[in-house]
Amino acid sequence: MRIISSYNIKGGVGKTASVVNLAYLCAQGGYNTLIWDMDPQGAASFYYRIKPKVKGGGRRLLTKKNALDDAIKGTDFENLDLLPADFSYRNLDLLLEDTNNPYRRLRKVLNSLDTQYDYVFLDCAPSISLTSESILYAADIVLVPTIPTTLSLRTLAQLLRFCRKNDITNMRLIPFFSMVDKRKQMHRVVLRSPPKTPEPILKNWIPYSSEVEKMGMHRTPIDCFAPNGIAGKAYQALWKELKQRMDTT
Amino acid sequence: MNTPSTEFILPASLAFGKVKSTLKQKLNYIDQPGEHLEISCLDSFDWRLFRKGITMDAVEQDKSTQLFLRRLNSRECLYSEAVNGEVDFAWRLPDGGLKNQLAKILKMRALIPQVYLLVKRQHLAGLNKDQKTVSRIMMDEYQVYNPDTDSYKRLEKRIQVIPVRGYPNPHQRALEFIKREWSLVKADKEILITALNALDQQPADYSIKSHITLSPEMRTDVATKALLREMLEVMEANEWGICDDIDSEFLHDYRVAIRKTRSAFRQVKGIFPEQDLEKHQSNFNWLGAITSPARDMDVYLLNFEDYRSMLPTELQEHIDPLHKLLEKKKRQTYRTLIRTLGTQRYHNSMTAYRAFLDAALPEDTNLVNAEKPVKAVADDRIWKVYKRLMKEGVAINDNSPAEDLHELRITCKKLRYLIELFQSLYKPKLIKQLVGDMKELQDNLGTFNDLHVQAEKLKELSAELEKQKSFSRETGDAMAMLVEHLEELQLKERTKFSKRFEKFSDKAVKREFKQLFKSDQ
Repeated sequence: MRIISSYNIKGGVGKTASVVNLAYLCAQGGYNTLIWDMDPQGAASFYYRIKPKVKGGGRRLLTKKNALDDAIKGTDFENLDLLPADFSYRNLDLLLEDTNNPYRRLRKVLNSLDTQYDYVFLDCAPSISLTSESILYAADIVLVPTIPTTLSLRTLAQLLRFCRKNDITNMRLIPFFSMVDKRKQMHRVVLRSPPKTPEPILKNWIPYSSEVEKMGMHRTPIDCFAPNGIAGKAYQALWKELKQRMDTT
Repeated sequence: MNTPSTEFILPASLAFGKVKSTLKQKLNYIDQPGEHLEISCLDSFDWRLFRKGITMDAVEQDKSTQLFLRRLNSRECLYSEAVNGEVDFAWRLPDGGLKNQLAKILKMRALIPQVYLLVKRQHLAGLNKDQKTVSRIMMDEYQVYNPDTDSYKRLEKRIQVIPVRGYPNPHQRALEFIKREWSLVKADKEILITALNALDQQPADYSIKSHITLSPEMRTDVATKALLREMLEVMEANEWGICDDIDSEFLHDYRVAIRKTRSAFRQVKGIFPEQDLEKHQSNFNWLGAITSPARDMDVYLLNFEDYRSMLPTELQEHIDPLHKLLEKKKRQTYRTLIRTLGTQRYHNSMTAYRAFLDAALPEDTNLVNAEKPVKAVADDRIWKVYKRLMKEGVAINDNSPAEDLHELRITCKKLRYLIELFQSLYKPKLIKQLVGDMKELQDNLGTFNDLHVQAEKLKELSAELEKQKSFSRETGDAMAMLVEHLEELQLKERTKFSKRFEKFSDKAVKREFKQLFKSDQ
């Protein structure tokens, strides 16, 4: 089982859209896939038409055996399940603090799904907190959607520094450019000469596109309503490259 | 965890259209895009997956093949994976759970298509008020391919109610509605089995193990012919797999059948006229000889990764030239073997042998054992070979030459084949116990002999490699080290012999043999 989290300290960079679309493509490839919508706003749950409600809330998930199993819902698509968001996740930091070894708790909880899923995607809320740190420890891959702007690159550098300082070496941090608007000169410049990162930034990027916004209207991944559009094709290419990157090294 | 889906058979009088429109009207189901699928049900030739309660479907798609490993009956999907290219050996699949699971069960066996199905599939989705799918229904029309007539045969229509995880109530409602509305019967057979039955076949219809049950009073000539016929059928069943080079076990099983046949010829005398047997015996000796080089190459290739692991890491890659040479030799030996299996000599000898087996037996005969009850003859023969084995074994000490152990190994094999041939005459539990008692000794003798043969052969191959232009000093070192290691292992195995034989000579084992085979007890 591989755990991929979509994470950025900054909000509004396309984290949820990435999880919703990449997890869908992963499941379409025949892999048993789970999305855990960890953001209390519940956007990923909304896209998959699943109520953002978990019986017993986050506390039960972190403390009770088999609680994850009971809470998982099937989506409309084969091989793809979702663990819904819950409003109680806003207090996940406090809940984690109450457990033994809060940094490793999430991984331990997720390990119980090892025989059921090939891939687990975590959709994380922005911020840097105990929860996000716990997610960094839990993940095998941390995908960082990054807008090609100075400000976004600063937060990417900040995240890399944080991992280095705290010696978080269990995962591979793989950034990619998201919400790219080629009309903007700064975006073009950053794309041309991306910053050096320990793990190279993925070559494929996701454009700023109205199709991504339309996901809210259709409440499905882009591939279901515009597979041949620019954004649809971009996600397909991004998944292919990410999969190759994960498999080769 | 997931609730399993439920499958029903649709009576011929009930059209899919009718079912669909009722479900749409009464339970808020909607149509979803349907599909035409080509499905190959894969398994090894000896049905290893099926015997473990698992099925594997390969669904052909545009550019790839989607594999589904499911639990038999519940259809619960254990693994699914998209793969490119041909699906044969587990070790060729991409790393992951599916590969690991298959490798454990299939070992060196390849997957082959056992049944080929065409499916017209229609999907329905049951929606809740958010228009979210909370229950699924699948309607399938199957056709099975009949290779004998090169045509398709229509099978019964099926309807499957599939739960969506986390939504048990809509699933239950759909099940109850379907049962109430049309009184449908649950499908009690997997589609794989229905398809095989439609072709007058059964799953797991091949096994190297004997299926014949002999009765103790049966005439020995009748019983022996039945056993020999079964061995011949094993050989015939495996011929195509040898010629198509599917995997190493076709030739392995073919050779086991040859050896058992030869053993029956030699061990049980006075059943058939000697002049009849002689020519078949020499033909089976010939078959043993012509299949041997190809089997040797299979064995070296199957052992190859073990050889590699015997070397220090820095030398491991340097025995790759040996692998290449073995592959080349395997191709050559198989080519020769396949050519021989296509010759008139082979064809004539097998036809004559079948005619011998099919010929009616004389009611009266002067042959000493022919008319005797088979149990008495089997008891007598097994007991004699057992006694010979004990005599030969006792004579071996720590200084005895390797040839003595080789002789003992042959006797041990003869005894094992005899017991296996006539096993249906005895209580299965007791036979299992005896075979278990013999196993340790047989393994010891077998390993000792194999290591010797392998070391000698590798020396030969090493000399051949040295003549190659690309031969490197490292390859020479690796080969020398490998031979040395095998010889060391052989010595080690030799030291284990006395303990193993002592264990086999235990009073309890002697008692077991005596009770089973000494008829005057």
